Amino acid sequence: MSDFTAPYSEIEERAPSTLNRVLKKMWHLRMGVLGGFLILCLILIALFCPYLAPHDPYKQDITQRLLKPAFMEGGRAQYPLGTDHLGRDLLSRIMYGTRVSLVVGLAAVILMLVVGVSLGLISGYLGGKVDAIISFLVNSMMGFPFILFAMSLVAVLGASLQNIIIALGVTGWPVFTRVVRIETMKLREREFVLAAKSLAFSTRRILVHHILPNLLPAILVLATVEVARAIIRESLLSFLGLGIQPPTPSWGVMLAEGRNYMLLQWWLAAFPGLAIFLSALGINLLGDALRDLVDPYLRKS
Amino acid sequence: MEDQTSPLKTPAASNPASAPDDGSLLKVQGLKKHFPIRKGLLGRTVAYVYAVDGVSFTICKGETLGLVGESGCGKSTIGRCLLRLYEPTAGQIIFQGTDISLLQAREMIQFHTRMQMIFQDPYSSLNPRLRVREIIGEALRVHGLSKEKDWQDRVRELLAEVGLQPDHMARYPHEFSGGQRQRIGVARALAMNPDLIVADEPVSALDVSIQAQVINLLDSLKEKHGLSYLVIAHDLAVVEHISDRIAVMYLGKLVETATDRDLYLNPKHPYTEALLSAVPIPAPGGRQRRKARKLIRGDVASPINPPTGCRFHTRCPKVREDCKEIEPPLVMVEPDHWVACLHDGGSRP
Repeated sequence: MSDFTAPYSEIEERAPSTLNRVLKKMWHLRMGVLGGFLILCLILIALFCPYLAPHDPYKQDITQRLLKPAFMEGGRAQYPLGTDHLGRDLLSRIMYGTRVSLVVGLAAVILMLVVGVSLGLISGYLGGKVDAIISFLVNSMMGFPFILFAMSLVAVLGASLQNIIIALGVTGWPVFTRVVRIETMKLREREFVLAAKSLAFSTRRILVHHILPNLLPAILVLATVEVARAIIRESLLSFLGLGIQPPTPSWGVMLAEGRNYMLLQWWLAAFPGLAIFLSALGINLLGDALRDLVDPYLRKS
Repeated sequence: MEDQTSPLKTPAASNPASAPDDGSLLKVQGLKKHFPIRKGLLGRTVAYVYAVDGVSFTICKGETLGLVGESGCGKSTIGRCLLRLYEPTAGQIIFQGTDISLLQAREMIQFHTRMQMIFQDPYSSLNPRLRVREIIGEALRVHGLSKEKDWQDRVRELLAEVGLQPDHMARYPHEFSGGQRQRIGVARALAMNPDLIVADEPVSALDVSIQAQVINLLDSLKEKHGLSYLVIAHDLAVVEHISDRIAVMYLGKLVETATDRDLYLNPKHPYTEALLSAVPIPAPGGRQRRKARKLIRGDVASPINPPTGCRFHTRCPKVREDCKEIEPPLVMVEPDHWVACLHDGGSRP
């Protein structure tokens, strides 16, 4: 018959999907949308910078050095953000810099996740001596100054993209261990974990299949924030000359180079700084929105 | 043995609370579980919680033993010790002729398939991130209890057995009511094809209207699969309905065990009397034999520092001087009726 005769139950069955619900809440969290937009731009630029960038970021042209941005008097349209002290196009270099930042940020956080989450699970679930040892390790790592640790690591291993990632990963994992350990301790007492034990599942299966999925939302939120931190720290290390080496375009390197010209050519330092600021802001906004999204859901289930 | 002093430690032949020896499925002897209380940096043990302190009982094939007592008396601890979720401090747990209290985890696996547990809180006992299909079917796959391709059919079968729809298997636990969740918990236990199910307060978290359904489900499954139950509860009305025999527990020890009927009509221990008189009777006038309500005063004594002598003497309405010094053994006062009271089971001194 007509649509009006559809049984009530059928109408009810059409509950909004999880994706729908997430999108809807997202919309209300406008800041989250803004953050997501910034990150999307970042990713697109990183992926397509060979097509988007107006110039080769390595190509020097001494005759065009220290040009003003296009919007200022004396600037040229073909160099929208001006040129640096070697006559390289600033906009192109910033665009290529997103690649370094994103790769370092993501890779470092993946490293932190692998080490931090597994140690946290083991520490929280097993307790006892294992927990005491891991907790001691975490506390000593957190009490140690990051810069000192990263400096000595880079000094020993040498400055390269790969070693930056290692340095950031090695100093960053304790945050994850802390959070995962506490959450695991809480879940360990829940009856579904006891049930898994009484079904004679292995410890590995209980950790990976029963406890870890319940921690994913918390880990996801933490991971976003840590990506932003890693990006800032990469810039910091590169700025100090411990990270990415010139002429590779990294925001930190560009900031360091621009520092010498701050008084007269302020844009050389300002635009890379703005890039760092916007990407960290975007990721943090998204992370906050994710937290708001995830927390009530956790409470409900 | 370290529990030589326990009066409950008796030879197997005169095992308290035992029915004929040959038919026994599970025999627990002198079970103790003491939780250490640690303090300070070095984790020095400063005291123990004597959660279970020398308990012996037997469950026969096809029998349901009800274990009742106030919260904190150690009844759940017994259940968890049986499945080795807790390591017992002392005592034997003889399941189908094997002392499983000594087994390594690897050897325990085969016993887990024969002994399963139903948990108290259906909101906490199901993993919120897994679908019903996985909750019930995981054991089937991990332990190879059904062929790789058939496991989903087996899950459907199990769902039908506990009164749920086959298409429920694609859903998550939060889509179900408390009673339905508990049914899922029962199906999960059934998947292992157990001989014994330890039901730890199986209905206390449910609405009263739902409680009867779940109890009836347990009852019908028992006959169909030849199950035995250890039903742990604080509510005598629940236990009365389902149990063949009942053991009453107080502060880590059994105070009385008897057959269902015997215990209700003829309670011997003052604590049992008090528990029974607290059961509401849904009829005007109540039970004929019922006299004035017998209330016990005070709180349960601390299991960290249990009273000397009879552990109930601090609250017992019939306490005598010797109760404070002599720990009463569990003795048989009538056929299959055991009481631990210095008044020799005489309910009216």
